[in-house]
Amino acid sequence: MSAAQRGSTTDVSLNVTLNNAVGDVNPTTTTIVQGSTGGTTTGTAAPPTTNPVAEKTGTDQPATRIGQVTIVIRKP
Amino acid sequence: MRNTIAILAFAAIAPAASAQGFGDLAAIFGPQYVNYKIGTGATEKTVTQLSVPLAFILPVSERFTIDLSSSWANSRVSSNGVESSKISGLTDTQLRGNLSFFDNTAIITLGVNVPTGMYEVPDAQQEAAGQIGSQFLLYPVSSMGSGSAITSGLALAKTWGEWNVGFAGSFRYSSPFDAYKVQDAVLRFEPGSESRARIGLDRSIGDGRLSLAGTFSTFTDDKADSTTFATGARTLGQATISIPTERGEWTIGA
Repeated sequence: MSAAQRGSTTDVSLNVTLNNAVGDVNPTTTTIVQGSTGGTTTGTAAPPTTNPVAEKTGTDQPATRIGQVTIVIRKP
Repeated sequence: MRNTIAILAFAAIAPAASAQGFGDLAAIFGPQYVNYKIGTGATEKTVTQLSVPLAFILPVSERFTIDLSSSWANSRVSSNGVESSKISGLTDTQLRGNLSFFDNTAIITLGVNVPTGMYEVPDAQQEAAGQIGSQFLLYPVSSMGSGSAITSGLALAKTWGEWNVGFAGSFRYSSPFDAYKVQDAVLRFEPGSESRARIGLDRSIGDGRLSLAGTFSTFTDDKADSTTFATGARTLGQATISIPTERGEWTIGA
């Protein structure tokens, strides 16, 4: 039985790996918002190396991350 | 002491349509409230920030996606309940396009930072602007503006046994901008360019997922008027594990 059939929503597809890579080398506020809402992402992105709105050198800092909770509703 | 509250995380996603376009436009915002209390007694200082990031994502076609994002932030500094400084307004806006090819195993990305944020900060707002830019405190918005910039990059992904491996690199060029206005003098700041390389590894563990990543960045010198600053290189390692449970999915990162 696959993870998806067991109810797992964790995505380990190649697409997630690719999008995480893009999010890290060209981060924007979109990257952060997607990570905090889980709304349209296909997986959990790793935190970007810098806060994208503070990317000028000397003010870089790791971006804040919020724990993502995915609610799975199964048939009784 | 740090307190963070994600007041609301909301994603508005348009109904799926057969064709890509404005009908598939998604809007996301996720306000956050962060509160740092530093010191005690007469030297106590509290710095709070309410930020409201907003992003629009438009899948133009199956291979090309555009996103536009910005934030509004309100930051305040107070001591023993008396407010000493505050800064409030819109930050810079980022416009990014991602084009995928090779059957979704590669992406070319191009991003522009548009200087819609606050520049030439007045004296009364400089303490708040400086506090949120601290290297040691994590504010969702740590700068109200960082000047015009353009970032180009390439990412590739490949399956290697049980692992998915991602490679990516980017280059960012930032143009000079007026960073501060102190009395009548304007300080011109020229951020250095950044080159960044990243390797990431993902695999499933049971029903969960393990992600590892390493990022290396190099910078050219920053310039503030006639003064030059060398930032040096930066290496960052990341590890994240996501574990689905009956009560939801837990994610632990370091």
